[in-house]
Order: sequence, then C-alpha cells, then structure tokens
Amino acid sequence: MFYPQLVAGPIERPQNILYQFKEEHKFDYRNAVDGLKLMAWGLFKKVVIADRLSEMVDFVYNDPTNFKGLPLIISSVFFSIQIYCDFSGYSDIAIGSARIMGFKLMRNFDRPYASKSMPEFWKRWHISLSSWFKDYLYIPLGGNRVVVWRKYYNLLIVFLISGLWHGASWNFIIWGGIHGVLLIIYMLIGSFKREKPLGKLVSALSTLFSIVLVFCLSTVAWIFFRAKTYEDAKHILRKLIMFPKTQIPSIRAGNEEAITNLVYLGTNGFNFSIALISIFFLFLIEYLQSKYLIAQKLSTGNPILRWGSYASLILLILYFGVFNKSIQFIYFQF
Amino acid sequence: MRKPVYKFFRNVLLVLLLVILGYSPIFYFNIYEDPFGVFTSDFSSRRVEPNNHFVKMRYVLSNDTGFDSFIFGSSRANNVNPKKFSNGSYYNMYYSLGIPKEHLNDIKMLAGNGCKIKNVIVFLDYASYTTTDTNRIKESLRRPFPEKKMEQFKSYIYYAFQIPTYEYYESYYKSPLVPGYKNMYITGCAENKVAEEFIENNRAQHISDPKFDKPYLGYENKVEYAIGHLKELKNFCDSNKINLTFAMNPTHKTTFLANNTELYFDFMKQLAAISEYYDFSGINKITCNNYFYYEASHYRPIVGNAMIDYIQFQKKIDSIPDFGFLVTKQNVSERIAYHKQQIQSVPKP
Repeated sequence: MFYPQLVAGPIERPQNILYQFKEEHKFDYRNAVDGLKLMAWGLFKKVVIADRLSEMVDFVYNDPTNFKGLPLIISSVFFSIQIYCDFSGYSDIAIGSARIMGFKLMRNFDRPYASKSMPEFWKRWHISLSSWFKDYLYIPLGGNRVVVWRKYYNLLIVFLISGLWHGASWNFIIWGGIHGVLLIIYMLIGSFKREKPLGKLVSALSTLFSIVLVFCLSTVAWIFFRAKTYEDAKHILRKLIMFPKTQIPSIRAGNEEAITNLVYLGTNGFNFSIALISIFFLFLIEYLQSKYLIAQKLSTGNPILRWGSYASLILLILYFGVFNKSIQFIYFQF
Repeated sequence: MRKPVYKFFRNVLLVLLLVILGYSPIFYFNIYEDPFGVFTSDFSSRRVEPNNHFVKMRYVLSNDTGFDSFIFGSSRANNVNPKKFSNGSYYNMYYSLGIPKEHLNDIKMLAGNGCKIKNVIVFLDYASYTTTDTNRIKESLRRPFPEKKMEQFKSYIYYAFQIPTYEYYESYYKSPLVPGYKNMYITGCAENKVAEEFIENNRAQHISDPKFDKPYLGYENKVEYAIGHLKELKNFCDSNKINLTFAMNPTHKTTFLANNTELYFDFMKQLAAISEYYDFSGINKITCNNYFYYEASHYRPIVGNAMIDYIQFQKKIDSIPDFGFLVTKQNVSERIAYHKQQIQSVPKP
C-alpha cells in the first residue's frame, strides 16, 4: 500500500510509478527538504484557505434558498477557490510525502485559475485525471483523428463521463456537460481566431479578461458541483445576479446583521479578511513561483531568509489555520 | 551516509526552534497563564473558571484521593457541599453543563481504573436533557479527560496550541485573581465569597436586581438521549453495588417557567420509571426568592445545604414544606399535576 496517493491521487500510470517501487530509495537531503516544503504549502492551502472558506461556503450552500445576489456570488467564488486549495493542497501533501521517501509523483495542478482558455484550464486542473481520460477514453474513441463533428462529440462524451466519475448525480453530469460544451466553444473560436500583433497594454488587458472569463465560467460550472440538489443549483443560477433592492443599501449603511449574513457569510470581519489576504497571498506566491521560481531561489539564497520563510509559513498555518473543525478533503468522497 | 540525515534533522530542529519562538506568546498564555487549568496543580488563585471536568477526573484517576463517593451534575451542583454527607468520603465532580452521558462515562472510567465507588449522587435539571456531548472535544471548558495516554497527549497539544480569541484574552486579563477554586482538590466546589458577601450586605439591592428576569434557556429536546444514559447509569451502578441517587435541582422560577415545562414533565415521568428521585424543582418559596440565587440559574450554598438535609435525613425547612419531595413511579403523575397547578397560580405578567 502506497499511502501518499491512497485516497485521492494523483492518479499515476504504471510506467511512472511501478519501477520506483523496485528501486532502492536512500535518504536524499534535497528530496526531503523539497518534500517538506511542498507538504507545508499544501497544508497552508488546506487549513488556512480551504477550511476557512468552507465555513462560509457551507453557510450559503447548506440552504441557498435563503439567499439572493451578493452572498451567492461571494460563496460561489469562494467555492471555486476552496475546491482548488482543498484538492491541490491534498495533492501537494501527497506528492511531498512521497518525495521525502524518494518517490516522484506527477504534478496534478499547474495554476489552473491563470488559464486563458478552457482547454488550457483542463491542461492545468487535475492533470493526472485529465490525461487519464485523454489516454484511456478520448483516444480510444478516436481522439482528434476523426471528422471534426466526431472530435467534438468525443470531447463531450469524455466530459460527461468525467462528471459521472465524480458521483451518480445529475449535478455532476451537468458540471461535466458544461465543461465539455465550453471546451468545444473555445476550440471553435480558437480555430477561427486570427493572430494579430497587439499592443502591450491591449495584450495585457486581453490576457486579464481571458483569465477572469475562464474563472467566471468555471465558477458557474462549480455551482452544479457544490449544490446539494439540482433545484438548489437552479435557484443559485437564477438569483445570482438578482440583487434585492435593500441588499446593497443595508450593507452600505453598516447594518451589522446584513454585513455578517451577506458579506462575511455567517462569520466575522476577521475571518473574512484573513480569507481574502490568504487568497491574495496564495495567488501572489504562485505567480512569483511561475515567473521567478522563488522556491528554488530560496533554497540556494540567504539562509536567514530561507529559514525565516520556512518558519513563517509554519507559523502562518498555526496562527491562521482552522483546526477546530475536522473538515474532510473534498475529493475523498469521489 | 549519516551526514545528509544529520544536516536534515539539524535544519528541521532549527525551523522548529524558530516556530516555537514565533508561537511563544500563545504558549505563554496557554501554558503559563493556563486559563483552563490543565497544566497546573495550583488552584489557589485564578482569574477564570478552569476545565473542572478535565482537572477533577485527572486528579481522582491519578491520585490516591480516598474519595469513595461522588456528586455529579452541571454548574448548579457546585453548591452542594460534599463534606456535609456522612455516609462516605464525597467529592463534587460538577462542571459547566455536565450531562448524564458524561457522568456515565466518568463513573465507568473511575470504576474501571480501580476507584472503589460507594455512592453517586447525580443532580439534574434542564441542561441535563437539552444538551449533548457532540462538540465537547472542541469546548476548552468542558473537554473530558481521556483514559488513553495518546488521547491525553492530544488533549495537552490541543490546550497548548489553541489560539484564544481577542475577546477571551481581553476578558481573561480583566478578571481579577480570586481564590474561588482553592478547594479544587478538597471538595471540588468553587467558592463565590465576593457574591456571598455582597448578597448578605445588600440584600434588598440583590433581590431587586433585573438579572433575575433573564432566563437561562435549554437547547434542544434530548430527553430520550438523556434517559437512555440515565438508564444505563442505573444498571451500571446496580451491577457494581453503587448507591445511586438522583435529585432535581431547584431551578429559579424565571428559568423554570421560560423553559419548556412539558419537556421537563416528560423527563420527570421517564426518570421515575428508572428510579425514585428527590425533586426540589417547581414553584416554591426557594425558587421564587432571588435571595437564594446568584442569578436566574445558580442557587447558593444555603440552598445546597437544605437539599442535603432532605436527601440525607428527610429534614425539611419548617417554613418551606414544599421544598423537597421524593418522586416515585407511583406518585410521579401526582407530582407533575402539583407542578402544573403551581405554574397556574403564578400571576401572568
């Protein structure tokens, strides 16, 4: 039994993992340090961000019919981040603990919310499952080497089955279906798009717009994934942008009850602020890592800065982690 | 070969040292100030209520205390002085919101660890059948003392690492140091000398205090849950030859009337089917007189003493003949009818 990936992946291929079981694994300083760093980062994502957001998301999604407008938007956005932090946090802990023992598992997430299109999103989200479906379902169905309509049909089938894989519920099938349709639309648009050189500013704005659009689309799809029933999901979608007349004025007027229920989602200002700051910190670190490989630079840089940052990360987890509730990893149920 | 392993562990220790340093304000508060009293054995002066549940069970389990009789109950049972009982060496195990399920677990744990128990008295009230132990593990004031060493270690880790809210931290330092818990290892009872002196010196002011209009409400209907555990407790005590006595606390009138009385009568009825018990509750000259209470929930030691007199010697206060009644399977309906009649007689506001 190989415990690091026992419950929720990453889903490894035999050719990548089996030979590692036969090899002798001696203690390697670099592997042990890298593994611990990855585990600490995964723990940060899980207990500081995901578990904190879970409290707020549950407040709305346990009975969404009580809400309209702003709280539905905030909780849906928070769920998008919660599921990413929860699952990628688990993956990091699994990969990190395997690394300490000298095993190399495949990367499962690669900053999915920095994607500029849905096809890119699926190259970055749950990579091990996406590639498994590609190799074991999409390609056997004919993959790209078929007529155009059949290619899109294959894609849709793959995503519907991917939805079904998460659970025998219409909500998961709809979630898979939405992603399948979005992927096809993006591919169709992509095949008509002409590459024109853009100015720096226009290019940056266009990139930002694309990223935000992908985040919004995936958030809408996540509604079906998180809602307890199809009826709940339907209600959320219907009331998502329906702001009751009194909602914003009561928040602006500083009505404490309104702010607690509609903005802080049943928690308090401290909790909400910690959630926002930690989300910002997460995306900042991920950006810096992708752009400047800060983790690697830190390993060889100033030792005071290095040890200080390791200790700070653990302290952040201890100070701001949510430990008083035992919250399961979301993907343990699938 | 040993070099990289050594380097790794040295560096891990270095990081841990930095972490401990960064976390030291929390450790200082949790371990040195120790608001819940789990790291200390000195209760001579404290600012806030410790976790009586944890501390008392640990004390009795880890020491040869000589106690052979125990009083169980919620914080209301605090004012039953164990030294007034003559049929055993009593210790008061009360703690905040103590419930029958936990009393059963505690008694089983004591008996299972070699404590020879002669008598057990359980004081019950609205908290007993409206609360469960579901979240106890996360309640620092009520978390039980576990039997297994590993679980005990986890509890100490929990207390050492928990982060207090700013409100708790602030109120902790605002509370004065008082010797209220100095008898932790003698009687188990907390003293409230300041309040006692205030009441005796300012009787009229105390009696007219509006705090007596504020009821303490039960949580949810857990009658079946409580009765199930009380039944098991009765069976356990019978099979281990332990004298078990139940008694209903004299709940202050405001709290008694504000809670669901029908639920209470259901509890009374079901309890009578398990065992006879002493009933001090209802509308009587004690429960209607603010002088006998600190607020609308906790009665004073003077009331506890009167209850002991009745439980031990069937001695009643002459001027208060309806304070204390032995409820049996046969007379429970009659007693409930009496309570209902008394409730009817209370003038509506």
